[in-house]
Amino acid sequence: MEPIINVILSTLAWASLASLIVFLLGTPLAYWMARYDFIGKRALIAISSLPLVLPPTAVGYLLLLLLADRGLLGRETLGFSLDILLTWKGVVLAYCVMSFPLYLRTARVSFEAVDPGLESINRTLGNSRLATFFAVTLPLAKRGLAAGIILSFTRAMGEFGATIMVAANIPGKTQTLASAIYSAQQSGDDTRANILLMVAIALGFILVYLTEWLAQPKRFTNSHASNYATVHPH
Amino acid sequence: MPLSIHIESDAGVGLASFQHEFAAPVAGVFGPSGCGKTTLLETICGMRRPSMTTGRIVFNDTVWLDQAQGICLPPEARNVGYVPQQHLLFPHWLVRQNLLAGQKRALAQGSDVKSLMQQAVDALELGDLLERYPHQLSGGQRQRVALGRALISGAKLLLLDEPLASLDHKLRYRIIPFLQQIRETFQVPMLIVSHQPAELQALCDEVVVMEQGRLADKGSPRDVFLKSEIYSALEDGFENILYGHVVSYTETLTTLKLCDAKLGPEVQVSRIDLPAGSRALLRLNAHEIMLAKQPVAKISARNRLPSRIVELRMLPNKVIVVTQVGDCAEAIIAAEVTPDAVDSLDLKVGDGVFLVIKSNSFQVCR
Repeated sequence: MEPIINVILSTLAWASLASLIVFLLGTPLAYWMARYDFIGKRALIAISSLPLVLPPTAVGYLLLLLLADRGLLGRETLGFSLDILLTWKGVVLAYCVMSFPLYLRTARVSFEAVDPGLESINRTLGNSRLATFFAVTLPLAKRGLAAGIILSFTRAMGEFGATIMVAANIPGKTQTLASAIYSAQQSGDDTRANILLMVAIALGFILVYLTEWLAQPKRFTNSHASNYATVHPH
Repeated sequence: MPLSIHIESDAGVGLASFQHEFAAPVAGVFGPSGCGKTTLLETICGMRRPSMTTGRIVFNDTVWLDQAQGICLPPEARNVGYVPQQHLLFPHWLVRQNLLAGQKRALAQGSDVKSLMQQAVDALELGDLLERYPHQLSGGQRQRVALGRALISGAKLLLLDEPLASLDHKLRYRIIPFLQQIRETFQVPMLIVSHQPAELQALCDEVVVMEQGRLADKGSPRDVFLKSEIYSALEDGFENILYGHVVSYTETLTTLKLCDAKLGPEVQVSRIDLPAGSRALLRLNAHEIMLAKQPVAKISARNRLPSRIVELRMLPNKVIVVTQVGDCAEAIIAAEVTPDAVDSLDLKVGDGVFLVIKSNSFQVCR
């Protein structure tokens, strides 16, 4: 039997990798969607949100169809195999697809909350669009982005349905915290199931607590501090 | 300021038609809110590109915008310093970091950023604010930081949007001396947009008037604001803007010399706490002035200034009497009287009159 610590560590590693991929792909897309209007924007938002509302097994099945030998991304179509199905890469793919919409949504809202005037004014001061993004936009949106990343990480940690379809539940190869609990319970190994449950609860608590803390950002308001008049005379 | 602008648009909103070459070092754009002033500024600095049929902006022989040739320099390539009405300071940076936000450009121009920073901090009195965050500042302080930030970026043209509008009524004129200080220390051309004549009179050499997205009029500030249509539309009446130098003061009154520290005529105003020799900005509403043909000996008003009528402007229901006080050519004061009064006193250009003004009719800023 796979040691519990290995299950936990591989799940954490896969979820971290998935979060990194989601962050790198989702951040520019979220910024683009927050700042520009384009034809089909609503449709794109709807499509990218689909994994939030579909049964995870449906998403997993869709991925399976895409990656099957004759699928759009299958061996016969591409001429080579991506070698994703039934491997750890399948787990990461399922994690990415399931958590991407959650991050995209949070990141888009965070970028929308940054006053575009601040970006414009920084450009009038001689700074390029890219420099402005890193100096002004990203720092002002960072708490929201961090909250989004943690959210997508927790979503990945809890992912079961899509993972089972794409990567199955192979101990020592593709078994995750979620599927290990399922296996332990099914095989009557209550001790193992209980330990895994405790670990899941602890991790979940820490992450949600962090998100809550990040969701109450230090507010930079334009209103005067309430004690302004007495502390800082004009 | 060699800034030439030509914009024509048939969009129906914002800028409709504007063609002008600003020549004066400090110029103003006057107009009611919604007339397209802010759109004009944002178009000049490149933050906005409205739909237009003709668009051409040239500054110092550099083409910033040419619709026909498809040229539109991005904001970072235009070398402007824009001070928007809402200031737009970076909330995550200290005042010091805000001030240095544009230092890269200044460095690239070969400016000594350190001394530029020192000059701006001194001129705008920002020394005590450097380690604060924008949300810890008052409106006036924020404005000064935004101004400093624009200056330290090595801007070759300053664009100011309603510098007085966001300030408390009591404090709003306090920014004017700072702007004058900037004008003298940095010698950067400025374009100031405002719906208040006082600041444009105090700062500008040239004013254009905008109405519903169109250029409606242009001229020197006094000329423009004394024009019948504009004068009649001024909400609080016409204010004479004058400079005075403090000569002396008593318990209740301060004596200043208008315009010229030596030759200027003396006026008495309610006591202000400024040392002798310092300069102050005086505002005097045209309808608070009485005219007398002969000296009036026993009257409570403290000022009876001998002056000469240089112009009479007839408006419906009122007459603006433009006078020159004493021997100082710059000491021009406009008074508003009724046509009836002009008739009964038989006022004509060239006549000598006494301006009778109460000491508390002068509003003194700094």
